[in-house]
Amino acid sequence: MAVSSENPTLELASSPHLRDRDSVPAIMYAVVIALVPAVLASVMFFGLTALLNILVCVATGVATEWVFCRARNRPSGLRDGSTVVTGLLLALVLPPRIPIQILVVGSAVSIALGKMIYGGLGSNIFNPALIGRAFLMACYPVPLTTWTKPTGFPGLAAVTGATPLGMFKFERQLTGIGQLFWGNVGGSLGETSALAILLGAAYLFIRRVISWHIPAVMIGTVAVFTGIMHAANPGAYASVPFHLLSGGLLIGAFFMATDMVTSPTTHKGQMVFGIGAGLIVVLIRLWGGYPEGVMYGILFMNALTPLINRATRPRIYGYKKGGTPS
Amino acid sequence: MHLMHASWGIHPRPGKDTTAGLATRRAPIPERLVIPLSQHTGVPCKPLVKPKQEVVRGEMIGDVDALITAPVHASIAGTVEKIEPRPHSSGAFSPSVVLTPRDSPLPAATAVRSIDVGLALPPDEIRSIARSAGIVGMGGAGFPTHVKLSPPPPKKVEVCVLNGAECEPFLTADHRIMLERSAEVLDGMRLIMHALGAASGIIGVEDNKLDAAHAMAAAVERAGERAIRVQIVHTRYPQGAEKTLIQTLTGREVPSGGLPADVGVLVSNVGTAAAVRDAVCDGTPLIERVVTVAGGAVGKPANLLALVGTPIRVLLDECGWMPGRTQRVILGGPLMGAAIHDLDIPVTKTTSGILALTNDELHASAEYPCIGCGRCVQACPMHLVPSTLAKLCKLGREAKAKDAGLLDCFECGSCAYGCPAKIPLVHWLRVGKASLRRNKAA
Repeated sequence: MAVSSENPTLELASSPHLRDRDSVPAIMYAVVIALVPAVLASVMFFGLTALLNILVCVATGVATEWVFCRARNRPSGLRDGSTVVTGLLLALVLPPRIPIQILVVGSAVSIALGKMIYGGLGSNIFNPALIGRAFLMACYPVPLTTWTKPTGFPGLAAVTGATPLGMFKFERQLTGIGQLFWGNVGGSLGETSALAILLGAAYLFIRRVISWHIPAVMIGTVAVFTGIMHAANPGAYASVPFHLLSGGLLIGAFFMATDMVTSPTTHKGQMVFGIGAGLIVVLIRLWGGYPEGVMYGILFMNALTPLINRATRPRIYGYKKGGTPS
Repeated sequence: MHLMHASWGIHPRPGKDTTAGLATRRAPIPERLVIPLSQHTGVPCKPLVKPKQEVVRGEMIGDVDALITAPVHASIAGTVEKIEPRPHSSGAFSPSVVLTPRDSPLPAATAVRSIDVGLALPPDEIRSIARSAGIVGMGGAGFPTHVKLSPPPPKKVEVCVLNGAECEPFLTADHRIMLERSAEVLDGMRLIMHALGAASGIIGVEDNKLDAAHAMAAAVERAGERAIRVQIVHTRYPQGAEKTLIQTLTGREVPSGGLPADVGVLVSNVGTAAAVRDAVCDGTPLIERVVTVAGGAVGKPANLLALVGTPIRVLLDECGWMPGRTQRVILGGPLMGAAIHDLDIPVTKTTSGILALTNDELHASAEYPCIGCGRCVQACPMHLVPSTLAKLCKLGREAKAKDAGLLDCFECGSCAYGCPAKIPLVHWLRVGKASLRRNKAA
């Protein structure tokens, strides 16, 4: 019989020979897509300044990473898309009328001190966007807490006004739940519309970028404890829907606490993370000096993540519970 | 949904539909066969024949006096041309008997005893038939079956598990065997249970081949066999791995470093069971097997009954292979199989599939840093943390990796399959295991 003598160049490689199509850049750009509703909402409520802020943060972040890679003579890590996510998130968690130079500082710090000094993507301990925000909070407390009322598109004039959490904490003034849901309230660019955040979160969930463990447990923890306090003293403590829909809880729980690099790898660990972050949010909101505590809740649990990973390591097949071979 | 219960496994694209519906047909007989003297886990055989010697089909041509080994046989009548090292699926060269077939049709098998007579044989007799027939695990590991049939006392096998999961993408050889040879597979399982004195048997079949499950259930019914049942299991990879299948079917876990016999279980592949039956009832040694030939660079995918020793090239050509589109040729499944560089490598007792994959199917991608997504942790059937193990192995800290379960990894590839950073996790674990072995030897 005829046998081909052709011996094409065959590739030798270690198994497995099949790979899932999902990749790090695909995950990062899925997060960008999921943030589109929040970006649109921010433009709708705060005008073109929202787009400007986002562009400044993303461009500064990209430039910072490029400089770092250049200086260390390393290939640029920009293709992974994580810097775009960080810049975008930072812009969305800052006040709308923040001066441009502060945005530049914040974004540069996010990438430089939040990510690159640890060794780049995957090596950082804290969420880079929140590092940038925490840095600005310490250096520029006034601009960071100067809020404007939504003035709508194109949003040229600015009228200062507090956030719903601030108004409740300092003036005992409640904001309507409907308003909180749509987002026509004062606050950071991307946090005001609960609807926009939930739309993006649904996309991330369907796309399997995030699992329910961190966001559901974190939001659930806030719901349980604010619910208890509200039931005990409705005059002093706001209701559960108010707490869930106001401030940065939703954007934090769905987009920042779920940052894969800085959150636990096991589902059990992710639930521990969610409980811890939720508790800190409640503590700060109800009894702390600040009206909002999502940033500190997430940063604190970021620091505990290596410990949580160690404590929630799964029991290996064929081992006893203590970790010795059965 | 499992809340706290650890999940495992992946769901790769099955790729089985091109061959699952095709009846097995006989592969062409090559001009020359290359029969490796090592086709099993254990001590390689020594040749029992000399060049120019005439052999008949089924004649033993290699054996060795060792505990863990299995003899090899001539797959066809012919003349021994030479005995020399030849490229082997392991990647190395292995001493092989090169055989020129005599131009004669393959003789039909003649029954030597009925199944009822077989089931009345003393267990030792079945073990000795399995040994002299050279039967090894045909699912891929190639462990000599007669050794598995003799668990060291006081270990006792109560449950015999027949592995019809066939969870590797593309492969449908076991599927076809269950459909086409249900009665023989069942008889083989009964012989295995008889040899072990096992009280019960479970046939595990994934729910993507319900026709095979029904065929096996019908065979059980026809035989009036009460000790054996068919259990349909979820389709997920690596369901058919020995340890995972034992857990799925019996709820037992093989202890780390132990054997299935430690928890009273033996797992056998469906093809192996049929081979045991053929040896006992027909007196036929293991000299041919069903091989799935598939992949994007194969024009007419098929399941072929091939003689052991048939060069891979012959089977690929038979199936309309397109060399220009081929990026990688793999023996076995795409997740645990080995890539080969030489198409003169022959089919052995453990070759379950030959896959010619295109560049598209492999979708190679650049590597990124680990982002700690945890997909490898969720995929690992052993509940290891592959990302950490790979990092440790990469840093040369394999002793620490060993403490974290490195040696419990059986290299199913689920972690690397799902890794979005495209880190070759299994590869690093192999590197770590290799240096552990080196350090032990030194």
